Amino acid sequence: MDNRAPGITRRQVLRGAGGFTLAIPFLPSLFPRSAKAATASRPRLFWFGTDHGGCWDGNFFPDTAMLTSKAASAPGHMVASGPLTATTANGRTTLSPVLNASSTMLSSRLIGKMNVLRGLDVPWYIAHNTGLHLGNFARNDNNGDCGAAVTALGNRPTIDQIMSNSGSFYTSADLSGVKLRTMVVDSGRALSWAFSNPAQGVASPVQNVQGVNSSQQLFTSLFGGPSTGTNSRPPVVDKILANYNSLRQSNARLSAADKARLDAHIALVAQLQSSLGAQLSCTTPTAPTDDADKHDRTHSKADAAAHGQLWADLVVAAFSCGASRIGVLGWGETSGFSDYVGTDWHHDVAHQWMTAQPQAWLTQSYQGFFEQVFLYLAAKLDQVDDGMGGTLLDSTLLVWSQECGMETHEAYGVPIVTCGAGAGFFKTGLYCDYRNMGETGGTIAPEAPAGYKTYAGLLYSQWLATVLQGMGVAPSEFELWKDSSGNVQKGYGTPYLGSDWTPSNAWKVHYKSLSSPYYTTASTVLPFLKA
Amino acid sequence: MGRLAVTSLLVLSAAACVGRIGDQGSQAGAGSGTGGTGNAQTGSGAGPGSTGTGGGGTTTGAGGSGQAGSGVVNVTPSDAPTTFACDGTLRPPMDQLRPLTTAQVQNTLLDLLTWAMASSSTASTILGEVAAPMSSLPGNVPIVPSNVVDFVTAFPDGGWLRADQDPQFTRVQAYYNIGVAIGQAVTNSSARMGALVGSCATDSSTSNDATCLASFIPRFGARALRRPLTSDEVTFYTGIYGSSTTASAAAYADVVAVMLNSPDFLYLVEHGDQPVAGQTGVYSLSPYELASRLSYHVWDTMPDDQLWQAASDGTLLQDTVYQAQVDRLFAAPRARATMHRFFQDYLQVNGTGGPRGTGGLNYHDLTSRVGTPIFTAFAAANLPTASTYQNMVADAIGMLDYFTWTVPGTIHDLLTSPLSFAPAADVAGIYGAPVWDGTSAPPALPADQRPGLFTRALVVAAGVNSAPILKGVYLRRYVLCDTIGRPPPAAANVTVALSTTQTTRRVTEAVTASAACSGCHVPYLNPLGFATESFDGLGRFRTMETLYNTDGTVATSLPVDTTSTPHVMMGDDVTTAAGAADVMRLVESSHKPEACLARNYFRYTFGRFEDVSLDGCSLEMIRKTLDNGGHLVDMLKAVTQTPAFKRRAFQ
Repeated sequence: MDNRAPGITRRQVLRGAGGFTLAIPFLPSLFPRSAKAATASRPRLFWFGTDHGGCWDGNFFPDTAMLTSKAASAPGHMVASGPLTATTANGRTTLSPVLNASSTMLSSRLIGKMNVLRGLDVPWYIAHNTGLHLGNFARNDNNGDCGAAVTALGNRPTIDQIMSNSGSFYTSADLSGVKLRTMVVDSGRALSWAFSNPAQGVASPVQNVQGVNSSQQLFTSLFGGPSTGTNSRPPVVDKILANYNSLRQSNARLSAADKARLDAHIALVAQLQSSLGAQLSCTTPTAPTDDADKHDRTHSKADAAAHGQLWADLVVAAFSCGASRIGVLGWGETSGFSDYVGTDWHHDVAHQWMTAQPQAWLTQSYQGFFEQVFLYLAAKLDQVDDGMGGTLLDSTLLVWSQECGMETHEAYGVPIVTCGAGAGFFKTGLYCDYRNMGETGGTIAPEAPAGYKTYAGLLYSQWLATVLQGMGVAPSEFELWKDSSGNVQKGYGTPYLGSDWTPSNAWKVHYKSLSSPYYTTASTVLPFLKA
Repeated sequence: MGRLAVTSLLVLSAAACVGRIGDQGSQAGAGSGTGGTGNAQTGSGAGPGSTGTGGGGTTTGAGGSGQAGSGVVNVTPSDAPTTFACDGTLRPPMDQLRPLTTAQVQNTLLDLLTWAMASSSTASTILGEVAAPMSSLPGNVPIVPSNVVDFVTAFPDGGWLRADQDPQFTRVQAYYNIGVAIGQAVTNSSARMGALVGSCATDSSTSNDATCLASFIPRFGARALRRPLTSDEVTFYTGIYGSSTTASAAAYADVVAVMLNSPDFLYLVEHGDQPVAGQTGVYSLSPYELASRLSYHVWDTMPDDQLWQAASDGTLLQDTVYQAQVDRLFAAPRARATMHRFFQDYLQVNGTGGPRGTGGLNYHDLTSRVGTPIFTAFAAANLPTASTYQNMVADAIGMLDYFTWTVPGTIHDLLTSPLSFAPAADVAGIYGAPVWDGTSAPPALPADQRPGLFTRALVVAAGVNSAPILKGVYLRRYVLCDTIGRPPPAAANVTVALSTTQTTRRVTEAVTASAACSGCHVPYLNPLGFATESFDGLGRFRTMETLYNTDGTVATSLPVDTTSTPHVMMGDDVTTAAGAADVMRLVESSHKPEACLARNYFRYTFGRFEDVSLDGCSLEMIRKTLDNGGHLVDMLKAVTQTPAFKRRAFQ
């Protein structure tokens, strides 16, 4: 395996994906030194969320023999980790059936920048959901008492939006070059929620953030803008903002609800004002001639790859230019990467995860996504010199999460794959297993592979809190909610403990109660990950 | 050949058919704080500042932090109301600023430009020139407001278009780009400047430029903002133009851009007019506000010249003038396009371009099995194409259209009519009827074979098999508006597999016989679906169910059983039904469909969910129009007479 960063120029780096060229006509020397340094030292996050889960642990995770180190977590709960160790044969490098790729893609260099996390739980029946990935657990299908109960507890902003509005993540100096605080892409799923008026925090309603599904449209948002033609007058956005503020502050009769909606709109116009005034750290890239939206990600392997790679190229351009430092892409079904020829992946495959052929398709589809999209983006980011002796990937945390764990609808052991060190916060190259193997777990009934037992681990909420801190967002910025006793809720995402995991009520056996250390220390960085 | 692997039908419901939300009351969480005026099903937030989450209530409420979640949603199956109590002393829920929908913005821009440029072709040309920013304006998504918890539960993937009201960055950005682009487009030539502003802006004289500007701003502004500008606003927009009044295309472009981004253009801004006696914080609408509500409700666009005139001279507040305007608007072809959007909401088809999925249920894509031996054999001459689903939608909406606009129809017609509205050969082939040409008398199907709207292919063609569970849920949830329970965990993994030996009904009965399922399925869901087992997975009438082997050969053929005790009225109602026609008669006699249709129309009209108590007077006014054979078109008009339509609550 080649452990060196390819010697490719920036212009070449961004060429060729999906049959189009996204040339970025700049060189590092064009950056003002201060801007370059500031850009290089700031963390970035890009998050892929895919449906449905359902991949057998043995197909997704590396061999547990790699877990050579152990550490204490909660009382009586030992967790394990070890370096990711791949095998190579016939030009392919393998960590697991899913985590395998051509050796040129899955180089030892990239493996050294990856982490694979196992044993992260949302300990109740969340079923079909879009909210698990980034921490709005209320967005589940409400089946079962647990799902409905958590929905009743209210929506929460997702961590990308917490970061987006954090003064630690985006300083005022940062924002002078940021076109979009968060790039929200709704390829197949909408995964992002925000306070409608971030300035009001928890007093503000939480709403879904509508993303874009056209990469060319996102390109225009990042690098283009309304044509001013021969109009040399200043942008009118200031006047528009003044107009809304005038109504909001007037004595005209308005309901409290009217005012809340105006506040939300005003916050967005203010974002637009900031965006229009932002000065990019690069010259304007050449607009792509192809659009991800024209490649149905469920249609074929070629289209799925093109779809993902067109988005990935845009992410690299955005991160390179500092136009944005956060991105979320809700991919939806990964069927396009499989040999399945039907059109009802949800029922035929995802719901039938426990049988051999659907499982093979699931595994194949996740492997394709890993190699063609996740690794593609990681490799591209790793090919961009950050001017500080590292690469863009080093300052990025690239995350891939799934809707559920090994059993669709259940969220024990949600697999997480990352790449990048988040500007030095994360230790990398690790396989981390947070399950408590010393505890009798609940057997998955009745569909699990014969004799297979699984074990509860640590809260997925702790992972989300870890990411936030890795991005420089302190607990004081995300611990915004209290329980009924006035205690600050730790971790990120509505704390809840379900009773749905039958037959042994395993969640409560392991997590015990909301006052157990699993919950009260959920804002602590996960073991092994802090550099 | 073994059992077929074709799946699946969602098995719904819970053991005792009772579930509770918020049963971990000690786990108070995020009260994001809207709502609070709901019907108290979910609500009592436990923490400071909480306004809870209003169960079938509204989205209003200004926020409020703290904790919610100890409330309980009782999802015990229950009958929907058939009438609504009207207590005129109750104050309606607080109104919230409503944005124009995407369709309304598009229509308004076309109409405003047509008026301003005095040419519809110029308006169309201009919109063509700004197609790029226009295309970046996202469409509306049918949603259920997230704080209406029990409706989120009921409609996991469905909802109502006009409820999609949250401000979005993508939308604000698109509005900006559109405004700037249109501003430039309407001023980019002398001819357009002349049409927009007047010859005073293009002649060689500069002495008239100030007058020209002073004339343009209140004239264009009034139509763009849909009311006369105040003197402060005239000053504001004049300030945008700049300190020099010399005619400038760029300066006019800026004025237009800001006006097209103003709150009064993008929202229905209402301040109210006169206080309503006995209801603190409730005001009647001004003539201009009422004109906009009426125009946007019926036509999805700005008031036309006649309506504008009635608002300008104040006569719109006279009952006779108002009624005449209502009648005029509803009589115009534009009303049909607007009401199509309501019909889509009512049928829960999520727009004509959306994916297969009726009512948020997991109906299979009709083409998902095309190419497989079993489906090829099953479909035979009726193999669906990519357009078949949309033709099914058009067929169903065709019936609603017909009984609304062509022949004044009633709930009875919707539930029993044998007429076919199949617009294309594929659906006509499923019905065994000729294609309807859209103008002559619709062909009739055999009496009692396919009675009414809810036996049409859109509802009964579930794709893979006859799907009695999904059909039962659809009727219970969307036609009757009854409350049903939630599925237990992992219910979605339970499948009703096609069998080579048993009818779909028998397989369904076996799968739902367990204690975890039977509480809801046996009395309330399955029987309604069994009644339409006379239709196969493509919606074709049948008396025998043909079962296939995986290679497409016929395994056997068994008689279908459509008898059931449908419990249209829950509780002790044990009336039996022989099939679909009997069930539709029971549905009609329950009087639930009138109330359910009224609730749906209320949601569409106001973009919010009804509070059956606080909105009772308005709901009852709508519903009553359907009593005793009342016509659908009268129900559509009736909403314009309701307190909810003509007043606004600021508290």
